[in-house]
Amino acid sequence: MNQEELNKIERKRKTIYLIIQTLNIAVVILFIGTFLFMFSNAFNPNFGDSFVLPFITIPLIIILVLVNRYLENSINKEISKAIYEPAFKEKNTEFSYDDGLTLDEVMSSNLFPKPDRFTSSSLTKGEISNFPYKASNITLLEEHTETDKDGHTHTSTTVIFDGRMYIIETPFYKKGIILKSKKIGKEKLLNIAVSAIIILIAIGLIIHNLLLPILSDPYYKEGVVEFFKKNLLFFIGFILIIILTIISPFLSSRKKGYRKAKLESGQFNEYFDIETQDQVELRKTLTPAVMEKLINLRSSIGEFHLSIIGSKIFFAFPKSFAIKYNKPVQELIEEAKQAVERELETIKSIIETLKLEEEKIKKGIINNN
Amino acid sequence: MELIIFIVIAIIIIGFILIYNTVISKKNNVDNALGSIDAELKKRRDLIPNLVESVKAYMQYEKDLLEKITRLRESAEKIEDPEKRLQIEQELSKALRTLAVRFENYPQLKASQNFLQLQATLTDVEESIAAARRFYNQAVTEYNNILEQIPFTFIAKMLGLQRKEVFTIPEEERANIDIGELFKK
Repeated sequence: MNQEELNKIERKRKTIYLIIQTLNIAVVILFIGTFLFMFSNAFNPNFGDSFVLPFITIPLIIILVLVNRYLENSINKEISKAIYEPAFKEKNTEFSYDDGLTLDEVMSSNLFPKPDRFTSSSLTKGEISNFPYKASNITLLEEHTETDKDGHTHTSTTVIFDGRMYIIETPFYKKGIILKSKKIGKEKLLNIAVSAIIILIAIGLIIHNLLLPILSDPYYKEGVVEFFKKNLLFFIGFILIIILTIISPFLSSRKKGYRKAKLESGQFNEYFDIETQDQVELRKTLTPAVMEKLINLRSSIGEFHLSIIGSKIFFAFPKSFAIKYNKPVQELIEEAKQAVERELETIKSIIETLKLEEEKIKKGIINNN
Repeated sequence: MELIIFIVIAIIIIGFILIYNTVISKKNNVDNALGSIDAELKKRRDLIPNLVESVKAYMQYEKDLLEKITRLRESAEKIEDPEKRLQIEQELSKALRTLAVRFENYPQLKASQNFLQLQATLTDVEESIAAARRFYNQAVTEYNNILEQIPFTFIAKMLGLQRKEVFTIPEEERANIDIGELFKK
């Protein structure tokens, strides 16, 4: 991309930025105006006559928000093409904004459950330390649809993963090793808090539905059997919950042939959920030195997921760079270059950590004969 | 009241099943880990005849050592008792390490592709044995821990389960640890 094209994008960015800001202000004014109008006329007996106004303003707000989002996406796409391409090309890497890893490729990593929605973009292909790789941004979403008692359906979306995945071709063959980063710190505390709330609610339900009715029944001695019959459904449900709690670890998202594993390092076990098809292979790959390096990597780049399956290494980590259209393109190009540099350095350190070079030499010696 | 007793009994039964299954799975994990070591040692034993064959023409002054290795391999193959076999395997490991050191005195060996291939495979198998030992030690540690923890200890006593020993590095190996090599790993 030459300087003239960059200048053109920069001009477009400034214009769209201005339009987006104007639309944002318009949305806020419309929202506040509608709210004040509704509030001031709430006690007016003739309010019915003016009721038509929100029917105009609310759809208008929605349209403006959608236009805003469309403009944001289109400028982000153009900026991505303009800034990532030079950053990756500088590293002798092929880059294609519109292409990405396929869902099958991502699923073969065994790192994520099958999503309801999947998008990928910014495909890069190249070599790091003589090992071929390909990578792209990926987003995996899960949709939940619930129907309330009035029959209305509500759909919510949960992000399974939003980041970048690298697939590195290796000289060896492994049956399967999966390392998934666990939530630590505040997120872990949040999980504990949520579990505690669920347990407290369960205990509350038991006390409310079981103990209190028994104690408040004056004929409880004679009436226990009657009471049991009356609440049979509840007790069956209660026993089912206990059984499900017991077998839930076995029903979890464990992949076929994989077993959970723990290694000697307490910190490593705290950072990662480990699954493997072969306990010996796992320990052969994750030597104490490799574990220490992965712990350091986890501390420096945050959560990442790693799997080694067949002859491929799958490495998924959060995006290291987010495009902000309120910054000049030239500034974003510099930031993108640094982000790409960091990203490739991380992959290089993974290759060094797993001693792929040594594996290649060893494999070469064994294959030569 | 009957209902409460019923629920308490149900919880006790479910708890007993869970504890029993945990103890048994830990015990089986140890057996599984021991089996892994055995499998890797078998791979090594299968490599030895080829290794001895490929080096004996070059290493004529190491005849005694090569014979010792062949003898130990044959004994390990014949013995049924796993504990006694492991003792012999340890002696075999020691002899193989001595042989690996002696390779350095025969530079002409480096020219033999067959030897280099066998050496690489042997190193690979040795790494697998070390990994299998780590797996075993981990399994034994978890098993021993559970034997001392309440309520697992009661079930373990009922089943007559005993503590197991982890693999330890022999004294002579410990004395010869090469710090440089350790840091390379």
